Amino acid sequence: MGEASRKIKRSRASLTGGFVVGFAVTGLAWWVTDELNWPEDVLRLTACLVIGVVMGLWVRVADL
Amino acid sequence: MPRRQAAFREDFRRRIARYYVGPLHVAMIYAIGIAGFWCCVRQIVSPAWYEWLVVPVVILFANLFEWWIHRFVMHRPIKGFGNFFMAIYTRHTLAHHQFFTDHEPTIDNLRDFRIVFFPPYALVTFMLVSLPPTIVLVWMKQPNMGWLLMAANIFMYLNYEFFHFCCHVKNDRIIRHVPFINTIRRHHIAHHNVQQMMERNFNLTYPFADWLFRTSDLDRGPLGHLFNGFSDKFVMPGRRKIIGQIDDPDAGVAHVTDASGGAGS
Repeated sequence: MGEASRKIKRSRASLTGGFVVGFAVTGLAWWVTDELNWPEDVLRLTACLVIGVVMGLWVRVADL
Repeated sequence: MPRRQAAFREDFRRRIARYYVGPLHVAMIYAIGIAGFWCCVRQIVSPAWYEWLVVPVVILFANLFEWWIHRFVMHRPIKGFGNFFMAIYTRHTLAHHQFFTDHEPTIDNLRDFRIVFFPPYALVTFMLVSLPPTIVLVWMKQPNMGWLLMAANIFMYLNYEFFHFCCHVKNDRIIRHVPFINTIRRHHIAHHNVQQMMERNFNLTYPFADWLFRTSDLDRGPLGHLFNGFSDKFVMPGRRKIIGQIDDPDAGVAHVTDASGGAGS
């Protein structure tokens, strides 16, 4: 098989790990913002979700 | 560098995902770890002296755990459990130890962080495993001990990652003078000798468990183990013989034997 045609398949670990990191980071971000006395509103929830989703997605695309 | 190692490095680097960024990998681990540590510390309120005793207990257990998982999971193919343990074995013994040998134990660029640091979900898993004893201690009306346990566990994990990075960093101009780090660097690089990786030097922070279970390549006491530094003065003679003599730097190189019995290249 030629180098150019070699298919690099992402591992299943990075898929599961991405979900794990996504959920954990969202929860952790919620905890940190709670310690910082952020009000419980949509903005806070959105911020926590965005951080969690971005980190989880990166774990997947970086194939960690 | 042995050609087999060079070939493995080339192949491994080609397979690293395009969007992988080494510093981001490290930043994510430390962001999660420091955030978790900070939140746990915030829960601790005026701890009594005896509550602090949980910290040395955690340090001891973390040391024993790191030795155990390295010896019996990372270097042993264990089937079943949804291939969970096989994945750890493959990643460590079949990748990390092919990428780093005692001949060339250091990284060349930031993308090599991929083979040095654990993925961030390893830290998350570690934190989740630490959660039940924390909850039990909080439930037993010992919240300070619970949060100290969790915080110390996270600290030990980050300590592990940092020390392991120091073992594989290229330039040792500074770290060769830093106590503990210089010790573990020599200790770990000796572990990367293919002849002794299955049986020697499993600690990656402080080589206490290796001394306790006699799996160290050094012949000296516990304090000597912790503060050995780069010295090979106390390396067991048999071990010293293995390093650099049996392991062939040209391992993996095809040798063609000609008609007269000589070896060609």
